[in-house]
Amino acid sequence: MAMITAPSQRVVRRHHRREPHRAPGSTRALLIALLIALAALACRAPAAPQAQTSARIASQTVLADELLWQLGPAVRARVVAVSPLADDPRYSTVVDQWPADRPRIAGASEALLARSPDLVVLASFNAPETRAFIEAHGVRTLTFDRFASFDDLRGNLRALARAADADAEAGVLLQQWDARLASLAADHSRGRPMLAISWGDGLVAGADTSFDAIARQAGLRNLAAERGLVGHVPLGLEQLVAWDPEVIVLTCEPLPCPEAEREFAQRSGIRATQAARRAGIFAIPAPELSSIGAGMISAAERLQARRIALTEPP
Amino acid sequence: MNRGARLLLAVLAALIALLCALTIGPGELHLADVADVLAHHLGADRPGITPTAHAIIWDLRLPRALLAVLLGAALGVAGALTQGVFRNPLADPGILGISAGAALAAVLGFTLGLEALGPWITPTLAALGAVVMLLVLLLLVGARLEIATLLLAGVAIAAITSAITTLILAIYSERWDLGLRVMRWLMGSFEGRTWQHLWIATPPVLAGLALAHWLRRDLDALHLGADTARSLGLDLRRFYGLALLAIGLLIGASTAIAGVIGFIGLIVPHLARLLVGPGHRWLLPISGLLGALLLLLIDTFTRTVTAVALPPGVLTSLVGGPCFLWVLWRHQRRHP
Repeated sequence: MAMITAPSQRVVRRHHRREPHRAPGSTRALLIALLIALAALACRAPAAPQAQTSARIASQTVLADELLWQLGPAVRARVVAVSPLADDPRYSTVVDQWPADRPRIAGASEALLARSPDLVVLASFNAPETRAFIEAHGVRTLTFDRFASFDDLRGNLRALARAADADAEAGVLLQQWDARLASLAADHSRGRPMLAISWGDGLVAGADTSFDAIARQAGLRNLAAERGLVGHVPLGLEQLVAWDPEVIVLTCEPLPCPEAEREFAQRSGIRATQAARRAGIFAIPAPELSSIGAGMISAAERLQARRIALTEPP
Repeated sequence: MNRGARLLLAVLAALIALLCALTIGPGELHLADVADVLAHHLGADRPGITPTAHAIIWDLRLPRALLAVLLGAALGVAGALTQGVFRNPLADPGILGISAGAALAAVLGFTLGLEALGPWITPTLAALGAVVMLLVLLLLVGARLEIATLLLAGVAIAAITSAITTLILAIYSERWDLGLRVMRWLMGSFEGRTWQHLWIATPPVLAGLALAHWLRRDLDALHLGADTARSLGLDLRRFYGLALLAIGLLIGASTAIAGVIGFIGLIVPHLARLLVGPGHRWLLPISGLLGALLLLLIDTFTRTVTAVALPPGVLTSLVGGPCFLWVLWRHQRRHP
């Protein structure tokens, strides 16, 4: 579920105290000048948004970079900043799509506030200080905090659409997604379910992960989840070989996908697994496998196609 | 029990630990499976071996266990050598900044994505980092090669290289995968290490061990004090240079292959002294054997206690810390 938070009341509250001592004349003059300067600066600062519709949206997470792009031109025009990961080909499905005049801004920074956003979209894994900093400056925030299922994906899109006043655009997008997911579900009976595990940097994805949702949508059984692992967990290579999965899912990058599959299948230990011996190494593009956005559907489509090709009788 | 018997006992314990390491772990394999796989590679006909059993025992467990033995021995001997050179029981091989230099080179490789070129890239870069740090250290201490300058230069180098490593991580904080890789490498691990890693590590470690063994009498002379050692004919400048080279080979190779594994080099020489006393003729081989035994046991434990891969480098500190406190407490009781 995503959460919208109003700006802190502390920002608008002013505390007046009487000075306990009289300052000398020159110091007093300096203090008055400083107060005047501060007051002038405060007048220039953006006021807290009164309306809930956001005219200036800043994204601090790659999921929001992707969703805001997919919501169409009217929403895109209101985006004033995106996260640096928007252009990272390992994580983003919208690489180089956002125009150069939308600055890529990371973390709580003056550069972000200088864009005068009235809504900043964050994820729960952003630093709490970042959120506190943004809210302390009177800016509304929307925080995504669930990413482990297609329902979470729908929920995140709806929350963003509400905050960005783009319910109609989100409705169209949801219809498209649901049609693709229904098509995947319709093909579950083709071939047979296979025992699969994801592998990347020594980590496997257990239950309550986006890979778990992708695997189930693709008609695969997530071996790590079935063995009781939850979340992304470092797993010994020896344990992976002992479990002997039928399918090992990994990312292609930096190699082309077929080459990545060949290279991985030749590794020590891995080459003895069923997956390596029976063409069950499935490499898919990194932004899809690591996606918590619509890339999850693309990943499921790829995996289902590979599963069916491997298990359906000719 | 005399020293020879204690040495023999340590060798036996290391062999038993090696056998345990090959037998215990995922896959429900037994001693007979281990014997079959080993016999198969010695030329005997063993048709019943499954591909999974062969892969686990021959491709994964055996090189990993041998690597733990080799690098444990390297860290133990490097520790005894460092404490002998600095005549300080608190000296750790990491004090010279060589492992920090290796770590920095490996982190640079991760940052530039060079590890994608092959599994040999990270060890090679780390070894290069260790060599560069060794050369920088020698350059800084100059021809006089004084022990105080060596210590201070080492501390300074370690601080600078660690700071640069942290700076790189701070600059690329958005790349969580980089942070993850670096953190896991800095915690030390034998995960995914193969025969290839063992072949890379063996020559420098054997050279370092041989050099350390060759310096054993000089270390004993230095134990009596620098002036006495000099009066006994020890060329201190040459000795420090050779000792530094041996420590560099041992620490550089182990950090290059397995990442940063702490505390073995600090605690093992103390345990060895309890067994055979301070003479380096026995202290060096016993430190090597105990280092090998300890690291092998810790790696076997981390590999088998849970399906989740635990970094042995963390456990060495968890085990080593209390051991070290016990040694300190014992020392205080004996010398109030």
